[in-house]
Formats: sequence, structure tokens, C-alpha cells
Amino acid sequence: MNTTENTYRDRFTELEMSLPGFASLPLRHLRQEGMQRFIDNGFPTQRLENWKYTSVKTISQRAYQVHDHGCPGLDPSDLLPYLIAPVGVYRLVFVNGWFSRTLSDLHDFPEGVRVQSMAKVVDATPRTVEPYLENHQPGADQGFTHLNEALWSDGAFVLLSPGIRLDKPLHLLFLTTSSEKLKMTLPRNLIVAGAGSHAWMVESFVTLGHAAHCTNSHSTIILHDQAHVHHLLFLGENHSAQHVGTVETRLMGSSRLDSRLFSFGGERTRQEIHVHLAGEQAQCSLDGLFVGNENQHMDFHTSIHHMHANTRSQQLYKGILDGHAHGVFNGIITVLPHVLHTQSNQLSSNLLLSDTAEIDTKPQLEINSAAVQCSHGATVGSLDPEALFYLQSRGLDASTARSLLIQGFAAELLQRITSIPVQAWIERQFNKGDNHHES
Amino acid sequence: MEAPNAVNSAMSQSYKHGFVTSIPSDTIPAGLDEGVIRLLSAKKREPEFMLEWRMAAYRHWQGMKEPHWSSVRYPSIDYQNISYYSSPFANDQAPIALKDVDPKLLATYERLGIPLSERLSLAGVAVDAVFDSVSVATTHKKRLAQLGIVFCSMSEAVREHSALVRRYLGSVVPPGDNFFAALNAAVFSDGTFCYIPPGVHCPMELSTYFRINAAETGQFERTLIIADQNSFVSYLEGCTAPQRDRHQLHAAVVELIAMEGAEISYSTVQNWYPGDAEGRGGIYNFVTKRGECRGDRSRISWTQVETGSAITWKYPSVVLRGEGAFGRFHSVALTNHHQQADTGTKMIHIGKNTHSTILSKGISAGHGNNAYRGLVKVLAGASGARNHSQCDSLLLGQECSAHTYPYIEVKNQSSKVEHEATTSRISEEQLFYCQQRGLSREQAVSLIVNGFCQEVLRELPMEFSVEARKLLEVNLEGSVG
Repeated sequence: MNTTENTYRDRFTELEMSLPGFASLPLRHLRQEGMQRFIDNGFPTQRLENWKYTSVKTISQRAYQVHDHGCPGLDPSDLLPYLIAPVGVYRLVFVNGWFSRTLSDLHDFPEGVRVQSMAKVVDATPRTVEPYLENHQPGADQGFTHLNEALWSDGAFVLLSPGIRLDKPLHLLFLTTSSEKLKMTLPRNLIVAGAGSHAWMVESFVTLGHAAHCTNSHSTIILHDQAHVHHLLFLGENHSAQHVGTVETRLMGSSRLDSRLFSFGGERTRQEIHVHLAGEQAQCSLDGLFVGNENQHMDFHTSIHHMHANTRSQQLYKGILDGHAHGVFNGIITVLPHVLHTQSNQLSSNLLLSDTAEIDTKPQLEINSAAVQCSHGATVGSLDPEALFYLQSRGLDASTARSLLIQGFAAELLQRITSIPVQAWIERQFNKGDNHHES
Repeated sequence: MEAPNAVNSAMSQSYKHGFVTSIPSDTIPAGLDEGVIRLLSAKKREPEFMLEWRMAAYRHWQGMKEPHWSSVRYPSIDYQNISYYSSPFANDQAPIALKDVDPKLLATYERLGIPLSERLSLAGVAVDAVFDSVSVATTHKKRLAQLGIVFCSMSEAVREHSALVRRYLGSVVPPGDNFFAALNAAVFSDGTFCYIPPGVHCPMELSTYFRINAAETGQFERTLIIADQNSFVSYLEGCTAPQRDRHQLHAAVVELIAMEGAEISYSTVQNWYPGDAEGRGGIYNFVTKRGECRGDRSRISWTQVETGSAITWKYPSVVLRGEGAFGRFHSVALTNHHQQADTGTKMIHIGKNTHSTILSKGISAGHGNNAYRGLVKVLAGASGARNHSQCDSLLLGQECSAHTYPYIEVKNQSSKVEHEATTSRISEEQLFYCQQRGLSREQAVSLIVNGFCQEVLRELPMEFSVEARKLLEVNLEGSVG
């Protein structure tokens, strides 16, 4: 085993007793198991099929500091650029992986909603979370998940009682203050939506400063019967950041998950979303929009497992790549044997705006049951010269025409967001990055 | 959901090519080492360069590991337990003229529906018949020679046209390309060689008929087709094997080279013995097929109908090097009982304005496992490249599966790549409609499957198209659920 992995193990041994949840035996075991698996498998390499297009040398070969407690005195006004809206949104803020009470806004939660720091919960009432923290995706390519299992610092714990409707969106803001010291933050979230509950949630990752850092996050979302959760993941870290994340979801009977992913930031991004449709009539929709420029590398892996009859899924991922950006989409839909009457469709559309950008897309179907209807598609192309010409003949200059067409390509995904403040915010974020679409 | 009883009883699939020809044969004992390769090369009276080429490939192969990344599952193959050469001609002497060929062999081919006598044979088709390791006869050679076309067995080409062979052999699939290609390069026994001179439009279909007869042998044939500038050739390949309860390995290599303005159309109707209903026996069909559009405006198209083999594992590919080159892959793969197929294609766009289309139809029945795996790669220099892929899967049973793994890698913004795929089963409504019009359930399924494959089948030359339809029907017997 190479030395970097061992550095993490040494750090783990050193820190173990101070990590949240040490008092609970099962949680302590989970961390130790995670570390053992991480040591066994190591960081993933490009020899693994699932990491074919993405090298993680910028993570595995650099010495990152985990659990750096040096939290600078941030003022609530420092957060303004990263907020969805100043008011009308519940907010949990994590700075460098740790919960910050002063920056969070946790007032007036309706009764039946429990939102807390994960570190607090595992120390105070470990029983609540123990059953949910087990890893569902073991495997040689899950090195980062194992590292997170072993070393996670904090995160959000959200529990919605049955029938609760959260009136305002909940924003989980993960902010890293970058500095000379290379930091690795390891957030871990757990969201449990009780039967019939309904909520809008946003997880956003941003950086204050321009230096390099690394985020390795893991979220678990459990939906009980008839729950409906909107989960939006926003990746907007600086252009030197390394981001690795996994979202693990499990949907029970006729629940519904709407997952939206927007990735504009980071130097190297790898996000996985795994959905298990484990209840009759469970359904999910996964949408994603990624915009890459310069040397950005973005890699998205999704998997949808139809484990129960009458489940439905749909998926639309769009990529816009300029400069030397490299985009990867890998989506797999599996239908287990004897699972009947499932419906799924998947589409990956990509726009290449420069001759040096690259896209690798791989939509996959693994169907082991006959009574299904599945389809998938993928397209790669550039802006239509005729459309550009048409707009210019109507008096727009070349760059406005270009920008308009790109907007049109993305609009479908931007407009699908049902929460008004969230939609306005995402559109602002998208347009902010729009200035790089000049050629 | 249970299959009707009438259907269950019809579950026995008939493989009409499963007979064995009892004929004395010259077979090298099982096992593989340098000595075997020397012996094989000596038996074929090959020039020195060929032996060196084989040796280099063998040494390379020894350092390679058998790949296991596909979705097919099979017990490990003992490469020392296979005989690498079996010939129906006792004294190493291949017959010169058709009249010298053992009548038993001729009868075998007649029984397979491929009469080798030129008087009887299909007027427009020239056949090279390969029996186990060697080529038995090649028909219509004279007529082709008048046009300057070389159409002969590989062994003959190595001796008679060694300059051409030396220049082109291994230039598309290098000996070390992959595990099975390296093995093939070391031990290939025979195959077909074909050269079409510049400007010649080959007047008839060229065809090879492969037959595995001997037990415990592997068939390793090598096909090389070169279409020189502005020429055209259409080539057909058919295969059968006797019914045995042991698995047999077939690891062939096919190389196609199309020069400027040339076109090669390569069709396969693969009907190796698929094993019985419980998955015993059958051929492992691990083949490397690749074509290279070397010249500008050259065209290569692969059409395949895969109904046989216990396991089919192959990806006929096209390297689109010349400007404006065109590649096409049309495929129907049927898996029934315990058959497995992991097949698809690779389209590598290197030249400007290169186009390719992929159309793949997979049908799974019984416990069949059918996977499409394809790669479309557009390199940075391939401006204006265009690809359209469509992969449809049809599921006919409760235990079967269909997987689709398309890889799309694009590095050029002016290119356009589209991929679409669907997986579904025959709906009760469709069946009901047909039955209500007076068709039996089996006829209805056959009709729907035929319609599903129509686009591919009509690409085949007429005789093959008819055969392919029949094959689909026979192989689907009893799979209605």
C-alpha cells in the first residue's frame, strides 16, 4: 500500500478518539471498517472501469490536512454571495466541515422537523442514526466513500416526521476557507423523510478564497412511503478545488425524489448519485447541468436500481464544455430479475464549444427482466451554425447569439426547478458563469 | 406470468447442422508450445517470415492475461487441452482440383446447403470452404483470376502471394492486439485471402463457409481482404458445427483494408452450434474483426446475424482514417436458452468528415443474456464527423437479460454524435392483435421479431437474407412466453 493512504491511517489513529460518535460502539466500528476498506482498496485508479476517464492524482498525491479546526472569524455578511436569499430560507452553515451555529439560521422550524449538526446527534443520541450510516455500495472503486466513513467530521442531520411539509427551502451550505495549507473537508449528511412528508433542500459547496482544497462529501437520503423530496446539489467551488461526492438514496413505497445537480465550479469534480427504488411505485427524476471551461474536469456517475415493481425513473443530464474542459457522464439503469412493469428513460446531451474540449458519455442499461420499458439516448454536438446565422441576421452580435443559444440549451433544466427562490438563485449562478462563453 | 403448456413442450430447439462427418483426419495432439507452431508451419509449407511472425505472436501471447471484463461468463479454458490443427487430408496434401476432393466432404457441404461443384453452386457466389483447420476448395477461382482478383485460402496466399500477405497481414489487427488475436496470430491454420485490384467491381459475392467437424479442436482462421483503389467487393461468411456436449473454441481474426474510393461489404450469418437447452456444449465464438478505411472516401460495412454459439464475444470495428470515409455496422443478435452474447462495434473517427452508423438489434429469450457494447470515438482532428447509433433490445422471456453499454468519446466540436436505445418486450396487445387476425402465438412472435430485425436483414444479400430469417425462426422455436 502506498504511503499517502498510510498517512490517512496514521491521522485516523491519532484523531479517532476525538471524532464524533466515538462513544457509540457501532459507530466506532463503522469508522474502523471504513478505514480498513480504504487501506485495502486505496484511492481509485484509472484502471478501474468506473474511474477510466478521471485521474485522482491531484488528490492521492498531495498531502491534505484533515480536520483543520482553524476556523476564521467569519461575519454573516461574508456569506451573502453564497445565499439563496437573505430571508425566507432555513440555513445550516458548515465552515471547513464543521457546523457553525452563529452563521446558521434555524429559527421557527415547524414542529416535527429536526435539523441538527450530525456531530451533535451521534454524540447525544447515536441510536437515531446508527441504522442509516452503513455503506450500501462497497467495492474497490469506493475508496473515497470509505475514507469519508472513517474520517467524517460533521454534516446535517434532517429528520422530517410523517406528514410534515417544510414551508421554506432548507439550505445546507458547505463553505471552505482556502488558504496556503491544503485542506480536505469530509462532510457527512443524513436526511430521513418520514411518510408523506415534503421538503425542498439545497446542498451547496463553495469556497472563500482562491487556493486549492479538497472536499469529500457523502449524503444519505431515505424516503419513506409517499414522501416527496427535492434535492438540489450545487457545486460551485473555486477553480483549484478538488471535489468528490456521493449521494446515496433509498426510496420506499411510492415516494418520490427529484434530484437536481448543477456543477459550475471546481478544478476536478466527481459526483456520484445512487438511487435505489426499493418500494412499489417509487419514482425518481435525476437532472444535471454541468458547465466546464478552462481546465475543468467534471465526472458524473449515476445509478438507478429498479428493485421493485412499478417503479419509474427519468434522467436528463446536459453538459456545456468550453476551453480545455473535459466532461464525463456515466449513467446506469439496472432492473433486477422478476421486477415487472418498470419504466425508465435517460438522456445525456452535450454541447462542445471548443476543439479542445472533450466529452465522454456512457449511458448504460442492464435489464434482467422482461416486462420493462426502457430507453436511453446521448447526443454530442456544437451550436448550430444556421441558428447562429439566423440570430445574427436579426441584428444580434455573434457573442449574444451564442450566449442565447447556450441559454436555450440549459433553460429546460433551469426552469424545471419548482421553488421560486431557488430557481432565481440558480439562474443567477448560471448567468454569472456565462461571461466565459465568448470565443 | 407462465408460458402456456403448448409452448413448453415446443421448447426443444432443433439444430439441423449438428451432424458429424466421419472422415479420417490428420490432427495434431492437444497442447501448445513452440514445437506445435513449428510443426503447424511446416505442415503448411510456409515461408520463413511466417514462422517468425507466429513465434513473435506466441511469445507475446504467453505474457498476456485472458480478459474478463465482458458480461459473458464461462468456465476457464484450458489452452493445453485443445488441438490446434486438424485436417481432413491425410498426407498434408490439399487437393488441387475439385474432382480430387473426398466425396464425403463434398457431401457434407451439400448437406449444409453449400454445393461446391461449380455447376450446381449458386450462380453469383464464389465459395471458399473451410473444414476444421484447412480450406477444402475454392470455387470460381478462374473466372475471378481473369479480373485480377485473388481469392484463395490463406495458406495458399502465404505461399503464392507472400508479398501481399507480408505487407498487409497484421496491419489492422496487430499480433499483440488482444489475447485471442495474439493466440490466433500464433496458431491460425487457414482462412480466406482476397485481393481486389484497383478499379475492379467484383462481379460475384465472395464467401467463406466455416465448418468445425473434429472434436476437441479449436478453429483459428484468419481472413484478410484488401480492396484496392475504387474497387468493390461483397463478402459473406457462414458457420456451423456438429452438436457436441463439450465446448469448442473459435478464435478468428478478420482484417479488412479499403483503399481510396473502395468499398467492402462484409456479411456474417453465424450459426455455430449453440449448445442444448440446458447450456451444455456449444461454440465459444471469440473473434476479432476490424476494418480500416485507409483511403479517402472508402467504405466498410459489417452486417451480422448472430444466432448460434454458446457465447458470442466480438466487436467488428471500423477505423475511419481516410477523409470522408464511411463505416456501418448492422447487427442482429439472438440469444435463447443459455446463450450469451456480448457484441457491438467500435467506430474510430480519425479523418475529416467521416461518417458512421450503428444499428444493433438484440433479442433475448429463455435464459439468454445479450449485451451491446460499443465505442464511438471522435479524435480531435476528425472535423465534421458524424455518427448515429441505435440499439434496440427485445426481451421474450422472464429469465433473460439485455444490457447496453455504449461508450461515446468526443474530442471535436464540429462533430455530431447521437445514440439512442430502447429495451422492451412484445406487448400482449401486439400478440393479441396478431392472434385475433388468425395467426398462432408462435407465428405472431415470429412476425414481430422479423419486423424488429427487418432493417438489418434487408442489408444482407438475398440468399443469406432468406437463410437468416429461417434461422431466427428455428432458434426462436419454443421461446414464446
